[in-house]
Amino acid sequence: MPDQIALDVENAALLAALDAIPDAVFAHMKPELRVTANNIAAEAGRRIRRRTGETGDAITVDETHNGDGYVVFVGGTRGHIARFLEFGTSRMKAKPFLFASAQLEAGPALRRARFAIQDAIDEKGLGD
Amino acid sequence: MADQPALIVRVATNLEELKQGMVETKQQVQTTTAAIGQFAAQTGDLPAKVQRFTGATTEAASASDRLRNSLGQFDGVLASMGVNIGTEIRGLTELGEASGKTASQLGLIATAGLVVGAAMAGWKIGRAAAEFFDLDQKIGAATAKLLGWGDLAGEVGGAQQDTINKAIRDGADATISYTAAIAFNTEHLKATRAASTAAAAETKALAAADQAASDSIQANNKLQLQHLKEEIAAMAPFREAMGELNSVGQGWKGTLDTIDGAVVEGSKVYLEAGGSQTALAEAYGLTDAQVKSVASALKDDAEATKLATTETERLVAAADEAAAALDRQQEAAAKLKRETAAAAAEVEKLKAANRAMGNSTQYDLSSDSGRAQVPEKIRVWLHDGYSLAQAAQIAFLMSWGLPINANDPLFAHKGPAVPGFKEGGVGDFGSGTLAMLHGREAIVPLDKAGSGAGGIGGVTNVYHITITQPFATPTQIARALDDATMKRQRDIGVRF
Repeated sequence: MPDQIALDVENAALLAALDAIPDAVFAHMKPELRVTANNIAAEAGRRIRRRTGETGDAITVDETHNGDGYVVFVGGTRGHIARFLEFGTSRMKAKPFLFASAQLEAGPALRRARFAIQDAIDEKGLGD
Repeated sequence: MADQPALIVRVATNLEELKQGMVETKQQVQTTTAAIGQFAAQTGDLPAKVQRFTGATTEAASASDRLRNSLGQFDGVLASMGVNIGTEIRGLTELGEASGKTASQLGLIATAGLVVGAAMAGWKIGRAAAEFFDLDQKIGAATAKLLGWGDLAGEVGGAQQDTINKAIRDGADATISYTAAIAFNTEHLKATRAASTAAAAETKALAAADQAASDSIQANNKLQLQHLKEEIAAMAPFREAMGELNSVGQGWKGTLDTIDGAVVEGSKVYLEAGGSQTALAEAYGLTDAQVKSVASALKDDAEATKLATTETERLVAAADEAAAALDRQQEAAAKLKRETAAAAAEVEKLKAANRAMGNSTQYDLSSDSGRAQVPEKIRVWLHDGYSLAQAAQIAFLMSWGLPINANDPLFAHKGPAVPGFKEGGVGDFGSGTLAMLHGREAIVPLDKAGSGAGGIGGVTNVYHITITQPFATPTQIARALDDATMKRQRDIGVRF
């Protein structure tokens, strides 16, 4: 009788890890999203043209309604002033502060996201 | 939120694509696992195939691509996200700038703002998710790690080819397909198993025969062992008789050496307790000669103990005698000391009487009390400048009416003789003693001599001598000290 080798394939751990990855990614990503939102708000506050300071103070960071991240916006009654500043008027040149801040933060945000995703993958045992 | 935000930047994640990708990845893993199980069930001779698992094949590459594609749905999202964000923002900004500067056009700008919000919603995990390009490789590696293989897809393809190769090697046509090869291998495996079953039955029968033979040999061995024991028992009286004969001539000590030490000690205790030698021989299985040798040893021990006791008593008596002699010596020494003290007191008493009678010149002129004891008839001559000896002699001669002999050396000069020490000298001359100087001389008190500057020699030698034999006479000790001192002096280079 020739030699034999029995192959017992146990893939439960792998499948469980694959199932767990999305939640792990979100758990690691959420704090980084908060950092990104705060940074955008802070940079926007520094860039905004101030006269009374009310518009700058109205820059707000809040969690999205479904909890998947955060939004940065100019709240209160200063929304129209923010629009005037961001896009300009017929009497005033645009003085962008919010989207420019978002663009500036894009690179760091992506870097933090990469680290968060990698951490999640490592946490579930599928990393290097 | 009462007011509609005019400008919104949304920073959020959208994991739907990721979840879908994971579902499809799981399906791929399960499919691959099932294929492996099927392959394993149809393959009997695996080692060669396991070796081939390590090589990548074209089929492996395509399988890997399929796995990557299942995950690569991120690609569309990922590739577009990071790039489009800036483009859309810039486009919308331009839109706002181009949309007019009038108040009526601000509504359009507001709409654009909302559009921006919606567009930004697309910036979810952006380029970061592009890292999932690597995720499929990571998952592939992890799968291989869990399964203990190198390349999962390659292994599947290799397994199929190995199935075909096995069928060909077992007699199938060289152009056989994978499906046909599976069927061929299955039939071949059944035939092999049937042969194995028959071989196993034959092996079992052989093992039973083997066991029967083994049982027979074991029974025979037991029987032989029993016969051997019986023969040994029958030889016991003969061995005992031979022991008796052998012990003759070697003495009881030689016989005793043939007995185990523990048996000897046990036998001694038994004999001392009054046990009979017959019972002892029975209890320990000893011959008469051996029992007698134990008795002799016991007797020898008793005699040795008696001799030791006698010697101990003699030593104790000697020690008591020595102690008594020492006491007598101490008593004699104390008596001698008392007698010496009494004699000294008597001498002092006589000296005092002699001085009272004016017959003594032993007065201490260096102290007031000593000078007060000098009789008046002597003191007057002292005051006249004579020495104590001269004054005493004059007083004595005058008390008896005798003339003073001028030729008496005592009166060679008037007054006390003044020592010169022209050639040097050392001694205790008493306080107040005069001395004659001769020119260049060093006059140094003994207690300051040798103490450096002003001292004789300027060097103080301190000798620490350890006496290891204190039981000697004072003369012997003094001589030893002298020898040690002189030797030390020679060692440090002093020559006399």
